Amino acid sequence: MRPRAWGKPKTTHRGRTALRGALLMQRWGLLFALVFLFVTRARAAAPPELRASVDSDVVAVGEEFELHLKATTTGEVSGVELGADAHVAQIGRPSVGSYQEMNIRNGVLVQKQGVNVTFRVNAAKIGTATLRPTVTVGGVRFGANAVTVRIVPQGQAPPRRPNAQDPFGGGLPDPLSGFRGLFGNPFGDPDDNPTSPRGMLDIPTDAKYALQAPRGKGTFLHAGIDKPNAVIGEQVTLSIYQYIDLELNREMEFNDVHDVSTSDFVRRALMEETPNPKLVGNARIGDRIWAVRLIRKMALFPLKAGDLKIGPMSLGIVKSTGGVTDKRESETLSVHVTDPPAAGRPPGYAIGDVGRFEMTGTVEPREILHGGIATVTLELSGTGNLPSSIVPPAHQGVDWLQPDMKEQMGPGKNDRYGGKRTFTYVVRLTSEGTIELGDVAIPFYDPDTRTYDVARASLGSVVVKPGGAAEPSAGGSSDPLPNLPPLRITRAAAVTPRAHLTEARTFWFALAAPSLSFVVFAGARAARRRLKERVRTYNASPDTLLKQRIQEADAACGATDARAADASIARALEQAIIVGAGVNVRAIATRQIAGTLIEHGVAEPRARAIEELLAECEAARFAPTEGDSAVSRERWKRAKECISGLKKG
Amino acid sequence: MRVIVLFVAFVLALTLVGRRAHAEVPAAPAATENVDADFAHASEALAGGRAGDAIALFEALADRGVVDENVSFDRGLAYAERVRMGAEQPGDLGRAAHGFEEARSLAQSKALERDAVSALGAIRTEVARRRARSGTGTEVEPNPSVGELIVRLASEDAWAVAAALASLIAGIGLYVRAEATRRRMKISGSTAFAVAAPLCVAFALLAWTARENRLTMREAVVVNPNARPLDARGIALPNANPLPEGARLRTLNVSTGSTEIQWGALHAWVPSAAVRAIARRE
Repeated sequence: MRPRAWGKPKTTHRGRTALRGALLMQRWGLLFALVFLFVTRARAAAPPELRASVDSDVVAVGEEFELHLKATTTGEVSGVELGADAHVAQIGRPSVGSYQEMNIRNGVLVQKQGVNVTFRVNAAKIGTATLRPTVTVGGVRFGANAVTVRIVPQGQAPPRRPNAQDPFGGGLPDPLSGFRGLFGNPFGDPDDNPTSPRGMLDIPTDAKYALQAPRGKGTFLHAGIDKPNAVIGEQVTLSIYQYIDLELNREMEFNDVHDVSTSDFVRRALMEETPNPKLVGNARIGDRIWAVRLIRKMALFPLKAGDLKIGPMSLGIVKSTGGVTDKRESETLSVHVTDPPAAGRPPGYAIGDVGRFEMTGTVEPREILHGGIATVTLELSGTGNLPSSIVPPAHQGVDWLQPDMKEQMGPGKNDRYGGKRTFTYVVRLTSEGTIELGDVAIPFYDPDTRTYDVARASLGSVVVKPGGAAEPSAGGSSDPLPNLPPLRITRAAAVTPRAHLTEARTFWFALAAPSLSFVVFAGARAARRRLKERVRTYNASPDTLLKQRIQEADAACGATDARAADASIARALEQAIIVGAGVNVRAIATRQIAGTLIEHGVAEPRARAIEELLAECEAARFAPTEGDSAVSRERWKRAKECISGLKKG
Repeated sequence: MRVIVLFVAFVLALTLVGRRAHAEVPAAPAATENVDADFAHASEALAGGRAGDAIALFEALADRGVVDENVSFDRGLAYAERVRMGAEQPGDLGRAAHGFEEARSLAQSKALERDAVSALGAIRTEVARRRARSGTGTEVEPNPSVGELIVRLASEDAWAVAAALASLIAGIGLYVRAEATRRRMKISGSTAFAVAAPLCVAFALLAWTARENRLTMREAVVVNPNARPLDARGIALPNANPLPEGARLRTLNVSTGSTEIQWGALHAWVPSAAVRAIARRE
């Protein structure tokens, strides 16, 4: 084979074909090589998960803001770029920090790592800036989602929301994701604007939603009324809020929702029940911030007087550990309801007609033929508990048929329930001539002014001309209540309260008095008899006699009659012997007295003294001459000593 | 004999003391000064065929606490007139019956009482006719119990006087029995005591019951054409017909929104708005 010469080759058809095949092989080889190179490099650095966000969607020109980029990747990050247009300018170098997180999901360890990048950006020009940051991983550049920032003139930008980006790598789950679908998210879509516990204390709060303490963990219900006192029929506005802890770190599901019980009220909704209730503000309770949602608002009209209860609303929270629910319940409220004041109450006022009413009335036509009908339209409008029926004026010759009622009721200004009700009556006039329809009046009580007023519509008259169809028989027109007695035209005479015998306690006593009197009488007689007996017995006792004898002796010795004194001294001594020794010495000879007394236990000296005294007394009594009273007194003195001794002995 | 005289004097003295003590009860406060004028307007409206206006005025008088048998009577007439005019509102028959029942209770004259009873008859006949037509029974007035009938035989004061007399006779009988020396007198005394003492107890019980009825018994009239008897939980009693409109019944207990009633043998609860209490002169 001849060597190939460089220069212009000598080509043949066969040689050209071979050359073309070689070139083709070379191109395909190069292509395969490139593909192989790309695949291997790509395997070395898998595409990262990127998420970009800014701390404010709207900024004033000249203002700084931050763009956060979170890149989750296992590859080596070799470069980051802001990727901004001419509306903004990057300030300084971005701050880059790495993060790592480990989660166990379904028993499998999942590891993540990456970088968090923060760009400081200056809003340079008014308009809309689009920023699409990029990350270079393993030599390959990847773009994140584009974020737009509206740049407005100075002073027109809203207050800056606190840092919405989790600076620690987003390890915390979305705290509000559990409420989505049932109660929504108080800050909208968390992907666009994630919430984190950092910076919570900077969230503006409303003091009117603040409570002393949270009523539950994570979330709770709170109910409130606008007034604790009302009259029957007065609107009480009930609001029920759901509080959601913004630092809640777990998902929640709700079930078993029970609405409030308001059986003593007529209930009218002031807002629609929606699965995504309105966020009305934030509340600071303790050191935590709670999002507050208004989930129910209703007007309640009390049906009766008393302390009426509003039962709680409740819901169950499904626990993550199982199907057991944790219950949350709003407060049980009470409204003190009274009758509207009786003073100034107009005639015809119906309890419950409370609010502010107006009424207009029209009658068409004003002239009809006999037997014809007229249409009366009454429009009752206002706020409050509008009556659902009107009692038409009952006049002779005017037959009101059942009305047709239409209503347009709903919440009005300042949460006042109201609207209008239109009553259309067909009125049959059964007499000829000018028939007065009269006034339709609805008295009402205005709770704002605390006064009564009357909504009145004057219907005027209708002229009924002769002719036309014959008057219908009105169902046979038989009087359902025949022969009613005549009207009384004067009031009855004033009546003083009648006295009743049974009202006096003394009457009931008097009933028993005759029998009781007899009992008292018989008892007294028996008592008297018994007393007499006792006195008699008492008087016959030796002690009593002794006392008596001593008193007689004292008296006799005080006088001048010595014989009488000696006789009484002797009687006293004899009685004292009976009491002291138990023996009667009256029938015993004087000289035997001492011996008898000794036998009966009296000491001998005393017995001798007694005998001597008795002997002296006897001698003095029967002496032919009057004795000396001084001697008798001296004798009584000795006799008393003996008596005293006998008593003791 | 002297003892008997003393007994009688004693009882009479006690009775007089009791009457004087009771007569010192202050009279009811006078109604407002415009009552007569309002009554006149109401009567004019009723006489002029304006039953609705008359009802409003009569009800206003009732709201102001006017207790007058003629006002009650005319109020009943006003409601009845509205029924007759074909402008009947639900409950008009019951309210008419209430006015007449109230007039009957308050009546001082036999004529008014007679008229009220006559009007009540007309109202209840109409109610019975309507109930018969709707198939809910025609009973509008239940029979009173035997006890009630006996108590109503005489007035409270009549029972009280009878009890006092029986007591006096019993006392005299006792005394005669104890003091008489003749056997015949002793037997007379014993017999008088044996008869009069139980009678005294019975009359006293009747007087006491009549007094309790007067003080504690509250009556009302059904003013709702469809007042269903309920149990204490507010659930309709099974197989119980609605109470007849205009029926007079006894109220035992009034709680928030519900009233416990007794109507004949029926013991039930009804919504408070379905009954209207009969005013009493107190």
